[in-house]
Amino acid sequence: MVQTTSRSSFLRLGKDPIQTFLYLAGGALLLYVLVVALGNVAAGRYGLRDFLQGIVLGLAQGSIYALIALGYTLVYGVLRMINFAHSEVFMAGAYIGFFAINAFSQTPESGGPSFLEQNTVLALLLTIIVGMTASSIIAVLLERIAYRPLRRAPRLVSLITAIGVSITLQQLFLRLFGGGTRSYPVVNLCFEPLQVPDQVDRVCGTAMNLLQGRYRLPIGEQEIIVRPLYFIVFAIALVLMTTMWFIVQRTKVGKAMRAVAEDKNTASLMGINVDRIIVVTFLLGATLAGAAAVMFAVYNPQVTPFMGFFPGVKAFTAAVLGGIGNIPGAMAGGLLLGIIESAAPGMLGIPSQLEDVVAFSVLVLIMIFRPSGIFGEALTKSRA
Amino acid sequence: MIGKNTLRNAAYVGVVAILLAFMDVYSSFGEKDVIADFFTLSQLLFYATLFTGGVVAARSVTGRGLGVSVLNGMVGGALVAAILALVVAFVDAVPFEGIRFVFANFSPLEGSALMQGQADALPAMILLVVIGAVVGGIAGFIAQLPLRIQNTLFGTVAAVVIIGVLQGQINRIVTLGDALAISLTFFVAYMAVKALGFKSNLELLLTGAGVGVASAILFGVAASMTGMERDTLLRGSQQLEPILLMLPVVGDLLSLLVFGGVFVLFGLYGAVATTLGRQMHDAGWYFMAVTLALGVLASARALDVPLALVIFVIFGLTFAIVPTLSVRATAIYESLPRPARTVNRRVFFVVVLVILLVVPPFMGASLANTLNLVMIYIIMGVGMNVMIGYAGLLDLGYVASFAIGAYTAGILTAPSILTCPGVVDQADAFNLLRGYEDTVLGLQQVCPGLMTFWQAWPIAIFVSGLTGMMLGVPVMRLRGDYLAIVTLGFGEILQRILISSTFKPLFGGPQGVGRIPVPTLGDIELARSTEVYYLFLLVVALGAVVVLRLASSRLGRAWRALRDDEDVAEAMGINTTVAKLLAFGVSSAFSGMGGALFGASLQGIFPNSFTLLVSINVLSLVILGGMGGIPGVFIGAFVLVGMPEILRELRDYRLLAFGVLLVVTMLMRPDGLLPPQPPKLSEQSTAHKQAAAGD
Repeated sequence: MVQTTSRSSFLRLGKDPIQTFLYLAGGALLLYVLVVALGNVAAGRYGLRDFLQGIVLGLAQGSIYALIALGYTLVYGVLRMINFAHSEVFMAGAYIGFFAINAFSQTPESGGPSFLEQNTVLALLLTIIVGMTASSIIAVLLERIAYRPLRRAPRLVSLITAIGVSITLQQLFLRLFGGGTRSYPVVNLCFEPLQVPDQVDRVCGTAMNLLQGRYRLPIGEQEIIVRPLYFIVFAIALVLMTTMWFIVQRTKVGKAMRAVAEDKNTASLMGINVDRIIVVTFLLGATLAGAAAVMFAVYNPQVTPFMGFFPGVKAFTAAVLGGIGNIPGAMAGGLLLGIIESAAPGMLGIPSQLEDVVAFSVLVLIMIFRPSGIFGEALTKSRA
Repeated sequence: MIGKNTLRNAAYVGVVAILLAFMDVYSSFGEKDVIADFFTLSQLLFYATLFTGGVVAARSVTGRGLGVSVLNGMVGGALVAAILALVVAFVDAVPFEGIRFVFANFSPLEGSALMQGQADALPAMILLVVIGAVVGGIAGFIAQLPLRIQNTLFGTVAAVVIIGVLQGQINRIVTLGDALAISLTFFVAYMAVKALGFKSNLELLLTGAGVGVASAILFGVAASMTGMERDTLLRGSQQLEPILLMLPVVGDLLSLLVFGGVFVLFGLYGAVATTLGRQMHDAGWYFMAVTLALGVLASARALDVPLALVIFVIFGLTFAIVPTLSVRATAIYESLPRPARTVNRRVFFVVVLVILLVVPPFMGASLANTLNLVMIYIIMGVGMNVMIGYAGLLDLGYVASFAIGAYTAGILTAPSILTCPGVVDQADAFNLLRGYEDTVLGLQQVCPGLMTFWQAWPIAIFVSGLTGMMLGVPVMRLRGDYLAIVTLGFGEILQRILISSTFKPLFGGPQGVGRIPVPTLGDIELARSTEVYYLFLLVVALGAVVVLRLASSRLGRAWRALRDDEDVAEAMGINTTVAKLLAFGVSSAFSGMGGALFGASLQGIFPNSFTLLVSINVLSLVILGGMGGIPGVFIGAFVLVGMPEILRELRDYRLLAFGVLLVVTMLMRPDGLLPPQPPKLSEQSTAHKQAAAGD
């Protein structure tokens, strides 16, 4: 008896044909992907080396996605809206950061090395701080001008406003700073304690070049290419995310944020200034996005007014993957998406032009089959 | 005396002014003349900024008398000007290369509106503040005038400015003679009815027709007697031939009939306009004002001061008297018996139809192109309206079905891998065809497309509708933001696939599908934009009718129920799955229909035309016009697609304006410009009320 019920609820053939069809189609797709992947592995087109290479690359890319995704997740958690303009907040951080690092890289009139060459670590930290500040200012203005008046408006209205803000910011930067791509200066950072005698760097000699170096790392009989920068990005992202986690879980502001996310009205009855908490939420998300932007621009040195769109959409995918509104979920989702994105095209034999399709497909599939994400609680109908 | 928000509000305007200054809006960008030798675009923007500062400041102290308002306006204008003066000082102090490195569009301020003709920074700064105070004071004064006068004033200035900015595009549309003939007929008929009064509707129509015939005879005799010498009032300057007034000179029966018919129609419209509902009444007046203004503009090389004054007077009078007349006309309209109202409405619609049909010879190819683009967006907007306005489903991947329609029709009609793999696959059909005179025709002789446009079109519509439905299946459970994001994903995936080299043989990769034949009617090729125009017009009309019928059908009611509350709709026995799928299907079919036309009218498709921005454009025009209404889609398409296309000079800034407009609309009027009236609850009980409301 029990068995029959569970079986019928598993297939639900009569009740909801569309859901059944979807699950069947999804299963078929999964099977197909598996077969293709296994085929490629068996044929030797994809091996352990490629996989490890993908993971190393994916960790760096993924930690940047995770940082941006946190901004989406935080705002969604508190306001239940997708902040479409978050990708432009990211872009603003990279752009303003560019002006900072460009100023640091000017050689002084008296000659000699620039500030960037002399105090590389300090200059980079300052650049990150400038990027974070710029992003925060943009995000706070955004909230104040565009989102706060629409707090009680239908969701469609705030979504369209967000799209409008996104276009406005892109075009504002384009018109103010011009459409040409600007490149971050090439920064070298030699780390003397780590000597790599067999792979001599052009700038640092035998010392490890933390930012520009590419090193071959033997794995068994093969080797993968590793950049120390990947691990630095990953480490900084981890530190930032832990800080954020601490703020949300352990401080008074964090407690207030969680209360507002739970129920705005009750929170305000408890003496929480909801408007202020929402500003703090935007601020936190933007700070992380600003830091992510500068790191993104250090290893991906082109800066344009339109650079925010892809990282933005992918970070959103990451947020959804981990369950939107869920902070650890966003971190895990970001890393997972980064790895999928760098490992999957090779594994499935997808041509490089179609790489972006992977992320979008993940987004669509997750939305269709598990809109609550991997770690998220099941969404009630009112939220989805 | 100074309001507590005055300084703050003016400072906001000042911040915007700084941004505009560094975007180069006040200097080289606006060198174009709005009024020849008198006023450039950058000066206009400069004064507009100061004026805005004054208005904003004066508005923060409403209800405290004229003096306070003027004072606050002066303070506000001066503050904005002072902030701009700081920009001047900054530019003066910092080396130009430094500024240019950061603000890449910036150009030197010499000779710009910010320097006010001064060579040095300091006198210019002082002058700026003085000008700011004066302009702000005027703004403060105007802000105290009655609202109606303010509206008239702003409307008139805006009309003159728009005509001035657009003059390059619109100064060859209609000659002064034609414009005068049409608008005088309308005006005289209107006044005749006002003066003579009327006892029955027949009398009204007869008066109108009589005025029409009289003015046809008058203008016809005048035109044929004078022989239409060049550079006279009737013929106008040599650049532009009158179209209407040349007809009696041609003199054959058909021309004379057309000539008389046009006059009778406008006479009828003038007479009927006295008894029409507000929108239909006002439309006539504004149309006449615009025609007259265009005629005035066409009578000279450029808009100079006297012409600008004439246009100012035309629009000023129109804006001043139309609201009063409109109220009276609506009152009469509502007192008329039903059949008479129907007749009068029909006269209006016939006039609109005739205007739409005769417009192409008047406008040049570029305006026709713009209009065609607007109509494509109207078609898509009408479809999107089904999704978002009726069913409440937000689709950001709408461009996907547009692309599917375009590519299906393109591949089916153009020479492609389907018909002759050998030729097209080796890509360089052009090389193969060197010997032929015309490569497009030549290739079609060697290797014709699979079918004609008329055969491919229904297939394209069907395919895009079907794929729309199929994409609707998986996202059935999603609503709101989630649906938006997933559909955005669909659109992006499709675009990647279209561009990628994997599918190059079929979709042509980044080059897209070229050599698409134009639609033909018998032997006539609809190649020129003024000819394709009619096809678009037909499709727009059909589409609007179909959607209007759908909206008031059982399905339309099901969609609205779905939008308002899905659970309740389901409980009321609506099959939500079917209703949603049909919404997806219908809207995608519309989009595909537009896409197929788009490809055929451009004779080629490129994957770069199918970006997210298209979806956002369509969505925005539906929202801007007012969700759920067809007239709103028309307004939205004209504002969001037509205006930027015409404003080529502002091309670089139009997307910025677009984004700002989107945000401002949502903040100020979340319901859009023309929100639809609430649907009829039950046909019988409200039929009377609806008719009385002038529907």
